[in-house]
Amino acid sequence: MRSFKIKTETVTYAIKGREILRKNGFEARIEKSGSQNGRGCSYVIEASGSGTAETILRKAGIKFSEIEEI
Amino acid sequence: MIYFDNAATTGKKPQSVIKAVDDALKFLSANPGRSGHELSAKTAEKIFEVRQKTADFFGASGPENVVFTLNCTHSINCVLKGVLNKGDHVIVSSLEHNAVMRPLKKMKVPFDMARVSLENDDETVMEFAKKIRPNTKLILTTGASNVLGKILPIKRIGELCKKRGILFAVDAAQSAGVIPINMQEMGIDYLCIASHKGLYAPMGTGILIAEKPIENTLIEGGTGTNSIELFQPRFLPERMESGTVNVSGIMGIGAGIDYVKEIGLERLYNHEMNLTEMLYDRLKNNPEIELYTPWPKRALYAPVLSLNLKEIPSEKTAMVLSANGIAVRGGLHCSPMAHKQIETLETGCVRVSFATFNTETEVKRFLNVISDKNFLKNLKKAIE
Repeated sequence: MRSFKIKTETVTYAIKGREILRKNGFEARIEKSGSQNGRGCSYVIEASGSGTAETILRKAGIKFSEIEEI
Repeated sequence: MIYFDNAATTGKKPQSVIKAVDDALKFLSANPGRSGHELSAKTAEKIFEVRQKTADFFGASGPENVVFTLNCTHSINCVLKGVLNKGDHVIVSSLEHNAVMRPLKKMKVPFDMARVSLENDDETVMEFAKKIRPNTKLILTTGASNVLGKILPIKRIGELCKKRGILFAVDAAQSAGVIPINMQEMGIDYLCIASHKGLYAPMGTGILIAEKPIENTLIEGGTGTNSIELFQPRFLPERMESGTVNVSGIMGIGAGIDYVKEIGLERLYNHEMNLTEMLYDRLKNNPEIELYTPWPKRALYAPVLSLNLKEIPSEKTAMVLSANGIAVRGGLHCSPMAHKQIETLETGCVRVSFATFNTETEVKRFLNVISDKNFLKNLKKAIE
């Protein structure tokens, strides 16, 4: 089981990314995160499951700015 | 009042749309995608659902390509001003609305008009092909004329654009919710929709579906994230949706799409075309009436019919019809190009346009009124 935090620029990609991950067997939820790196708030998808979230999201065309495995 | 002005906006909104708007005002009064609290998140999820529904209905590749606008004119401005740069050439049809013509004029973009044949789609496609230049970046055309009802051969124009590497935008103000539109199958890159017409949503709502990027933004402002950065988001839809969106209107769009899907596009179209054909059939041999299109063949025409009482200015006819409880639109319908083509720039036309709730009884009433001797007498008095 792997866990990820994926940061998106917009709420639309956050929701779409969450849905794609859920369809691929991940548990996923969205949180509005506070200002990080001085850019202002953003949306974070917290996801856990087997497989690589990054590959799944890139294949689906989901635009994200950062991905961190935790 | 008998409402035959549905090309301006659908005169009756379904109860389901009214309920969706009402519920949104009561239960979704939070700014979506802004705050982190539960109600803001819930509203954002509901907006996303309508984006998904819209993308599915129009055969777009994803909800992220669905932008909610103020109206179809706003959508068209987003495309023209977003996509075109200095030196780009555009081709439009000969039937375009001022939503297309006025921005082009203001932008001083070099453009050509392809003449639309009212009877032969092969000729129309050839006209578009003939106008292509090396610097043609975009073809933008109406899906169906708001004056003549003529449906353009969109799929064939889309194929032409793909073959020649040209972007393709459609003004679907009169065709969305009336005839099937599948963006991917038809090669449409940008679809501009008046959701308050064929989708029965509230006025003040529109949609732009963009399958290709939009380089230049029309409006910049807050989008809910990365507030430190003074640049617009790079990606749609938020890139083109600065400021607070019309949440209740968007919920109305979702309910309107459900309504159209439940009845079925084919059933809706057949009903409205039955009325159009009934009207055309009873008017075609009336010596007092002038019609401007051939018989409105199915799949080639939308349920919009323009006519005139001979030698009577159209606005006067419309005024006296209104006094008789019938709503139509006289004049130039914000589409001088179409009137130029049929040579009615001086008189305009009386436009009759149908929707799902119109009936044969209403058409019969219209026919009785327009053929009545007193009606003609009152009209002649009105123009003295």
